[in-house]
Formats: sequence, structure tokens, C-alpha cells
Amino acid sequence: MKKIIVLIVIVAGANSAFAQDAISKFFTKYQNDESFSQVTVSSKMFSLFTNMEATTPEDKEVLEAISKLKGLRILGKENTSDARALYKEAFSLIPKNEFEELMSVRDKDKDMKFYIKESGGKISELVMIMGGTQDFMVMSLFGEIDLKQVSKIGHKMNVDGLEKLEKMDEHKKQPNSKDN
Amino acid sequence: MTSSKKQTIMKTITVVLLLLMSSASWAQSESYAILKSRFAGDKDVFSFHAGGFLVQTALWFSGEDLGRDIGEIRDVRMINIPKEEIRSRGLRLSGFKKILADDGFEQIVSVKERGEEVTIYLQEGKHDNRYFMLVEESNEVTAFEIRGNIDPHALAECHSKKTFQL
Repeated sequence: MKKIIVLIVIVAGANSAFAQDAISKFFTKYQNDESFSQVTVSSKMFSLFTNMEATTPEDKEVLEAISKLKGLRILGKENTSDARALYKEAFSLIPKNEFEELMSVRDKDKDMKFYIKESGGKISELVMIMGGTQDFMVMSLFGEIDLKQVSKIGHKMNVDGLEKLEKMDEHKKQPNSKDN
Repeated sequence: MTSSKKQTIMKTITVVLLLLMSSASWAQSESYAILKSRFAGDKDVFSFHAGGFLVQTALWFSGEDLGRDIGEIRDVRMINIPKEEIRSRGLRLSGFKKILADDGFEQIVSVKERGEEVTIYLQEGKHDNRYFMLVEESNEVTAFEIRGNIDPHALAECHSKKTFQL
């Protein structure tokens, strides 16, 4: 009986560890590869924004949304011939039972996919995968995420690609805009 | 101006300078002090300290409103150490990162690109914060310690100035 309980605890622990970050495996695989660029932003960084004074109610909302974030990880590779392969690999690593596709965009030669992990009406992780003919990027934003504010957060934190979420409703209404 | 007045002014200036110098010496963090005590003066090790006035002036001369955009900077310290010097003493950078953590520095941003890694740590203070920036390159390590209050936007820009402009 004890063995079963221990086994259940281990399995549950492993699941929750994996669930913390959908693309951890991908990051682990390429973190020592110098051809990749990596960015890690901790919750401490986000908490710094809470000390800032908001000049408008809109700014206040954005700062509040930022303060609820727990982390941001970005992994990218530029000027590479395997951008497409990396895009497919990252895409295949998304646990589809935990994540649902939020939006898919094709912009010129780039494909972008946005996935969210939602539980109890709250979004705990947003994953963006971007792949072009020469460039690739995967981003994981986690914490308590307010989708309405994500594009503005992207602007404040200077993360390219998140501005596409401004057009989320548009894209949702246009099934033809989906690729892959 | 009479000679006694001149003497009084000179004395005042000397006292102010001494006060500034003494405050500057304890203004560094324990982590930076450890790094400096172990490596300053060694072959190929370069270090400097600049007070807030000098930094703000340099930022002002650099053009734009960079100084105002970054925030308040009280002082900046920098030490550049060849990796060989660290290795030759049987030390590791990972060990120094533990010292930083024990000293109350928390990692806020880390950017790794083309073999170069930049990590920024924060130690929060009552009035001023301390920002410790470690730049690891293939042959050398540069540590910056900045005391002041940097605008979080400027810190956030640190990662975006690298790549990811797909």
C-alpha cells in the first residue's frame, strides 16, 4: 500500500513539474547549444513593475497584469536552415491534452502558434512558437496571465510577436488564417 | 577673498571629499568586495569605480536622455577578470553565484547569446537597490555593480536588445 502511495506521489510530482513549463524539455535539450539565444526573466523582475507609478488607468491594469507573472523563457535561433525543423519539434513537444491552441498566424514567411494552459478559468501558461524560413523562436510565459493584457505586456517587456494577440478576435473569426 | 575664508572653504571641500570617499568604500556589496579582494591588482585584471555624478555626466554626454531613461544611478563599479585568473586559483563562477545568493542578490534577467551570457541580479535596499551584472565571455568575466534605482523598463530592454526580432 505504501509503495502505491509513494508511486502515486512520484508520478503526480513528475506531472506537476512537467506541467510548470511545457517546453522545458526543449530548453533542456538546447540550453548548452551556443547557436541558440536564450532569455530567462524571473518573477522578481516582474515584481519590480509593481513599484512603478501608473499614470493612466490603462497603465495600472498592465502593471497589475505584469505583477502576476511568474516567469518568461525564450529560446531562439536566427539565420538557420533548420528553423522549420525546430518549429515542428517544438510544436510536437506541446502536451496537447494540457494545452489548447489559442491562435495560429501566418505572417509572410513566418508561422506562429499560440497555446494556453487554462484551469478554472485562469490561464497559467502561454506558449508561443514562431518559425520562419531562417528564424525560430519559442517562448513560454507563466504565472497568472490576463490575455487581454498580453500584447501590452509584450510591448512593455519588448517581446516581439505578442502584439499578434491584439488581433486574436479577428483571427478566431477567420478559420482560413490557420495554417499547419 | 581673505586667506582665512579660503582656508575654511578648502577644509570644507576636504571634509566633503573624505566623506564621499569613505561612503564610497562601504557602499559596495559584500559580493563585490570579495571579488575585488581576490582579484584586484592581479595581472590583466582591470577595475574602476565611478560615482553618480560622473556616471550621470557620462550618460548625459552620451546623448539623448539616456540618464533620465535608465533611472537614478548613485555609483558604478566594474571589474574585468580573465577566466584564466579564476581557473588558476581553482575557483569557479558557479561558486561566486552562490556568494551572490547568500548576499541577498536575486537573479532577475539572464540572456545567453553566441557564447556570451549576461545575468542581472538584484539586491533590494531601503532607499537604493544594488544591481549586479555578470558578463561571461569565452575568455573573461566582467562584473558590474550599480547602486541606485534603475527603471524596470530599462532592465527589460536588456533582453530585447539581443535577438528575437523575428
